[in-house]
Amino acid sequence: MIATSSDMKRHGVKRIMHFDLQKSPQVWSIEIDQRVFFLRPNSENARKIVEYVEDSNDNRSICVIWCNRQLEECDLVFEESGVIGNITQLSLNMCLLPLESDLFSLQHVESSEPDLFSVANMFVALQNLYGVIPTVYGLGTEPKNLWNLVHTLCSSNELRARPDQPISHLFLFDRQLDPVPVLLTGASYEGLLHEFFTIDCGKLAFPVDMRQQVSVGPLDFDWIEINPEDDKEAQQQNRGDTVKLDNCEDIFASIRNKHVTAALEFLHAKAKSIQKSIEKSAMIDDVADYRNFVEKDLRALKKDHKHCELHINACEMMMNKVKMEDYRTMFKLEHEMLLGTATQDDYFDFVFERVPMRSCRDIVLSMMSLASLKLDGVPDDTYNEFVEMYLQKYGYEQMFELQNLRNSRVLYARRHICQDKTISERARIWDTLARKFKIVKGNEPMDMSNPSDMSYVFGARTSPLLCKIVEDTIDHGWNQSEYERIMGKDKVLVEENTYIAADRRPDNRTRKAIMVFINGGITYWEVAALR
Amino acid sequence: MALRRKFTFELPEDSYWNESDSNSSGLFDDLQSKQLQARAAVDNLFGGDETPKPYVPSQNPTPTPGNNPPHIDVRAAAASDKANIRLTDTSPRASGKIVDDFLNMKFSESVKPAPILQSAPSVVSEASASSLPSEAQRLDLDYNRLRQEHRKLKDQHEVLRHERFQPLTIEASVKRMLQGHTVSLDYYRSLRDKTMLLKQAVATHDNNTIFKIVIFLERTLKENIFFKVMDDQKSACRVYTRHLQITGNWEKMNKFLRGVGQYQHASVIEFESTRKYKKNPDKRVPLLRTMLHGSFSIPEMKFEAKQVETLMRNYEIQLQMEKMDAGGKSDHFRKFPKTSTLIGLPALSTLYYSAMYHFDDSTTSSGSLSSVQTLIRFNDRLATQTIVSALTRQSRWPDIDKLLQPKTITMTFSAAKNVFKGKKSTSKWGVSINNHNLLTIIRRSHPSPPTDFIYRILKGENDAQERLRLALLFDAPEMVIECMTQKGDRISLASYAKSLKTNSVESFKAVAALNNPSIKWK
Repeated sequence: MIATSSDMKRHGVKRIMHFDLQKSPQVWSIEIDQRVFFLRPNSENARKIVEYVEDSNDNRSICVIWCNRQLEECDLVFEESGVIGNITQLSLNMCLLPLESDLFSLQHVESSEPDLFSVANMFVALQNLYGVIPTVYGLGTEPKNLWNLVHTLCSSNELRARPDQPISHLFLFDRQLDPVPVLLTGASYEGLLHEFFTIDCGKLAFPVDMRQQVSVGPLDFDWIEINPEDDKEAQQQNRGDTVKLDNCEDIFASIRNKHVTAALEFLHAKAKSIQKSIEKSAMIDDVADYRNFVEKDLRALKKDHKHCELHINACEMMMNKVKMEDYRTMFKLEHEMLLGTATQDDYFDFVFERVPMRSCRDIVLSMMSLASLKLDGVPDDTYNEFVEMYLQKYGYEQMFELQNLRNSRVLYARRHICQDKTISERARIWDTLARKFKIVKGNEPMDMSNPSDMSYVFGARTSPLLCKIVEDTIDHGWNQSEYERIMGKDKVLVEENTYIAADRRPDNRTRKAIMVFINGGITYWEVAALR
Repeated sequence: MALRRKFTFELPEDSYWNESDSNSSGLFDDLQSKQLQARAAVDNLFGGDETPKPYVPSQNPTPTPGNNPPHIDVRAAAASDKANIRLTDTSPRASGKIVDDFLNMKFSESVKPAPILQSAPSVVSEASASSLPSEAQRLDLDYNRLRQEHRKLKDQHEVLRHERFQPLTIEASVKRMLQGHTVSLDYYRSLRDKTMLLKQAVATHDNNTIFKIVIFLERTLKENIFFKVMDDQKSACRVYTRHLQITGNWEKMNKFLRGVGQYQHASVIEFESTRKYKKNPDKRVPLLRTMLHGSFSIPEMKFEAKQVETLMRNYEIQLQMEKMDAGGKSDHFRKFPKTSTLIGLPALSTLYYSAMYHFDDSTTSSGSLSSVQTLIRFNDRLATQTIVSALTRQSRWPDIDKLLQPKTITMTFSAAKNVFKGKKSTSKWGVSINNHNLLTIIRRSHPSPPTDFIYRILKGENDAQERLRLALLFDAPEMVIECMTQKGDRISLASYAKSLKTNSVESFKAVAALNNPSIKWK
């Protein structure tokens, strides 16, 4: 993503290797006398580097480029092993990587501890490039801390306010504010693709045979433990060619944000039109015309045809899968849960029924978390029952994971609230905000092919809260006092670097970029809703 | 190094030397302006900022005119750094003298080559331009300049030396750390300072800075004081526990969590630390037993303690089963080869295993289902689902039928037979499992379950709509036809008949139904 291999060759790089924690250090070949490692800073990698250093003799030099920053924990590992003098350490500060023309990512590693520093660093770099961002809105504790950090880092070099700021507004959110989109399954095409096949860095490898996947599921009940690595490998083998998904390809660009049924309609129409143009070609009599057609259109048509087929297959496969797993009931129950009309017995009955099915593990956990958020803690006996079943199925080692979920306030029982009063704060704030914006919809019908509201990404059941806040601010301006009342004063951040009052609504005429940053990751559903 | 830096010929502030050098180009008419520039540069140098700049270790030591190639080698830089340190290691007074000597030496060293470099062009310029300052003036200028320079460097050095013994404020230290510079923490020895350090670090919200401080505190404080200091800072605790978790230092982590009063987490951590003995119950079970009496004995952990007890019983059963099946070479094992050891697997796996290999054992056998179920309490439905799956894999359809019968009805053999033949209405199917789920399980566990079996399950579904949906989903044509006939939906039946394979039994049935005059179509 940063440099192609040919670029690196030009700069004298002789060989590029993949760094593998499992393998022991490779032997130095004679013509190479310097090694450069390009790694994420963590102690595991550092320990491996130590092995490399100990393996090599003196006149070879080793250089490590830490991607993002040099961390103390790595230094500590080096220092303990006594190799710190033998390694040249550099750090590369990564900025936003473009996944799309309108979607950027820091590509952080998933970890329990958010790395505020690199995020702040990114904003400093961004402001250096594009001038101070005039208006910044933030909700939640973390954005507040983040912005303070940005100020601390900026204080050494004063930023100029440039007249042509391309970014006019910045929204900073905390994923903690609205965990619901993560827990639900939406209905936009791109989001579903990610749900089933995992889009990685804007690329996606479809399975070779999509029909086959339907019938061969993992053995849900087998007593043999499935090694997740094996699973991944099996999937890898089943993978076909990697397809790059972005706006460059017409078909995908037009269906990516559509509701999946609308997408399917569109695809069918498209397929028909392609068929028609191919048929038309058969009727061409003139040789010159025919050659013209072959030269110009045929390749494009063929390509379109291939893509169309691919997407239709994917759509159908997903629809089939959705049917198999009985998503319908799940959707209904989740919706009822959000509305608050679900009978708890039904809901938990459904969840418990799926605990022993390996393929439903994520669903089970996310449904429990949803209940925990909405009900502010699962009832004690239900929680106990759930934990017992979960441990029996997935091993008692999961106790640690469940404990972590509880510590991060994702899944907890009522009794835990008495032990830690702050635990229910998140649920309270979410509830108030959700009610304010009326994000949960009743059963109003909606035309999916031409949606009037962003809730279409979740099948007209609910809208993503954070997107709703952005929409509200664009329409009516920032409602400072209201947010302060709900969240508490120390969790709302507004900063003006311009003479326009912050609560004024953004001017549509200026057509400047509005940047939304969600600390902790954004879901494809939300991306679709924002678009 | 800072001293040597002064005579970089590339640096703009030393451009005077360069400028006169570049005169060699022989542009005479430009001489005037060149001279002015030179003077301006000198003025700028003397009149410019008197405040010395902070010490910046330059990575790029100046090439002396003798010209070694520029060092990029960091080790060389480090070496020159070392020289710099030795300079000031001695007492301030003595070092002052050393510095002066050093300076003089340096000057003499680096000034000398300058004229040599210049000599060639100067001949040209002096001979041709009368407006240039005379030799005497020039020398005077040079002398003044050098003296000024000397003074400036001396001042700068004084400041630096002063700063060496003056600790940075805590805020400044933390800020430097945040920017990635190295900071010596040796100055902060009092507990107050240390507490302040931690507080400041936490206020930055930067995990790396917090981590540096925490490690420093851990190294320099006694355990109980360290715990006390950490107790107030939750995020520091988080950073530290994460570090311990990564390094796998469970013992220390357990102690620490107890120290800061997180007992619940501590006990789970203690449990987690036995994970490495997962496949080795001989070592793990005694540890678990001590844990039950230790950390899991607090009232908040009562529920978790129960789970640990179950785990121990699970091990017990698994050990017995493994012993029983050690020489297992029977047909059954050959048909469904056992690929891995049972030990260390979850409780439901034990149940599945038991249903798989010991379904026919007598109830008194330790491997039988009933004895497993008495030792470990399973949720009824969970157990049924698991057992059904195991039986489906062995294609033991009659046994599944038996299992799915409500327990209250004691079944005679003939009744079971009747059920199997599908003669009786079996509305009491799936007491606990809904049919969709049941079918999903069966479909998942067996590549091709017999259609009449699915048919019978579907027959048990009361809701006609649901029955049709399931029949379509799980591909039971007979039931689809039946449902559609019942509903009198001729159009969908006709279209369904088309989708069936021609000349198959099902399609004949569909056609027969369509031609049947006795059915009332809508």
